[in-house]
Amino acid sequence: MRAPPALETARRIAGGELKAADVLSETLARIGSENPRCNAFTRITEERARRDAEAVDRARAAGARLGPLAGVPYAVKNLYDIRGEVTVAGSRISADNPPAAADAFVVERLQQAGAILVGALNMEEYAYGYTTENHHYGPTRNPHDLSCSAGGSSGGSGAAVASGMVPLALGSDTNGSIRVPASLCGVFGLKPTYGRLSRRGVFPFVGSFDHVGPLAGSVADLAACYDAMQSPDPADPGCAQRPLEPASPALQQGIAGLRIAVAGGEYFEGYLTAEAEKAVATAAAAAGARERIDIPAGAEARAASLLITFAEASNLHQASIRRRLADFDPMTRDRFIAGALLPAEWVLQAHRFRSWYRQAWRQVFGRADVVIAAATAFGAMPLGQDTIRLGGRDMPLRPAYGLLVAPLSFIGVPVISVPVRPAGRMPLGVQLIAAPWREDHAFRVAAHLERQGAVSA
Amino acid sequence: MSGESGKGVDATALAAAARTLSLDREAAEAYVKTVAAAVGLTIPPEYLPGTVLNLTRSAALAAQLFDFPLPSDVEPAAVYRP
Repeated sequence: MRAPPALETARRIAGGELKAADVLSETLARIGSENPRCNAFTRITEERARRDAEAVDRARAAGARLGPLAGVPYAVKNLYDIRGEVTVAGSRISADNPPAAADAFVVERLQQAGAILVGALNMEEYAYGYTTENHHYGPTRNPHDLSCSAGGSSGGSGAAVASGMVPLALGSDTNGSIRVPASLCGVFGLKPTYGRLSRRGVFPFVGSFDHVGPLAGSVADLAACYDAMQSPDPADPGCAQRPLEPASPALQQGIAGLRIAVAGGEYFEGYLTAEAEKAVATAAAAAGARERIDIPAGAEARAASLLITFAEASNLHQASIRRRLADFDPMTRDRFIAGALLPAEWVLQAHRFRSWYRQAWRQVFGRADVVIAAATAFGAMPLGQDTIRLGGRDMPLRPAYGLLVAPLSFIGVPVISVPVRPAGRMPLGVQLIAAPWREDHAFRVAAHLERQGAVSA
Repeated sequence: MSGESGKGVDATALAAAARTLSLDREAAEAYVKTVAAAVGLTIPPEYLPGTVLNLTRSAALAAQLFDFPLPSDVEPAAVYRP
């Protein structure tokens, strides 16, 4: 049985129809039966969850005002700090660290909203990859086809929502790590504007591009979770200290007045499989998007984002690279070593190119409020597969999952990945790309597409 | 330090070579060994081929980037606020 929508659960608990403790028991039972199939959870925080659910039920019995997500179960990628638990970040190395002294900032925020944290989710080691074929904790499997990848690096987050174990999960997105699993697992995922949500207490990967964000089974749940996490936090140097700008009120506004276009040009269209072309066409038709805007220099943007990623990630882990090489996941180890050896010039050029690319997108947003592009050029492929043929040539499969997402986290614009579900085929995500700080525009289009039946989890 | 450890490999020349995609396996391996020594990183032989492959791929990405005519007045986006 699939988890009911988060907001429906919250409404029924607030109305006295359901007890948070019972919702939790059903959730734990679902995890018990589903998780052995897809390996999404690496830790269940049952004791804490029971305590928090009882607190919600007591608060309601006492007539206290409940938070907007009171009693709603959720889980987090295992790079979020959970008080009393070790933050493993998908690694063997960090498993030797002491337990976290406090919850991550956004986990605190969701706790204040009444949500019930039920556990930690599998990921690629240190978020470095797109398939969650984790050497230490096993691969996460796609609930739609267990032989396939759930995507990554937030693979556990995608699978936990898609399998119906929880209605909400948190992931992180540095080069696409929320949008790739959202696409492959057929759920909604939001990468907010860079600096919108605090990353305090979230294990870093590449500070220049690290974002946190939610995955959910509906647009309204995605917005509710995002809204509950907003709050300026001076402790995260990347956090922009913006006032709260909730997205939920925008969901009923429709798309009238929004200029919606499709991302055109060699890079955003050249790699697409027929199914990805069809997913984009479905979303574009339902959104009434007619204009096609050529987006320049996508390949250079991806190259620059990867070079900065290699250098920053290796610098972050430089002590482990010197002392514990054998303990890295074989899938990431050689990348960590090579990233420690890059000429400074390559990385500096990449940082300068980032400014240029941001300016190119500012011009795009002069013509469109929301731009539609595929999230992945193809749907989930079998675990263990190494290559794929795209645009007439064979490419390494794993990095190819990130082709269309990395250029956007590179410049920090907000993107929602919405799931298109072709009959009898694996799901595939479409990106709704908005100007910085205009998450509300992407949410309005996502809600419209959902109402039209063009996208659904 | 770099003068001593970098004997035989000129990092500037390497970057220039990468721009024309002429960084072959042998040159990449020489670079990896030399720079690793210079930065105090010991690479066990079993990890060397994968490291060289990754360095070669990074060089190809850099080549792509340096082919782009970036105006010289474009500064990095990171702003340090004292």
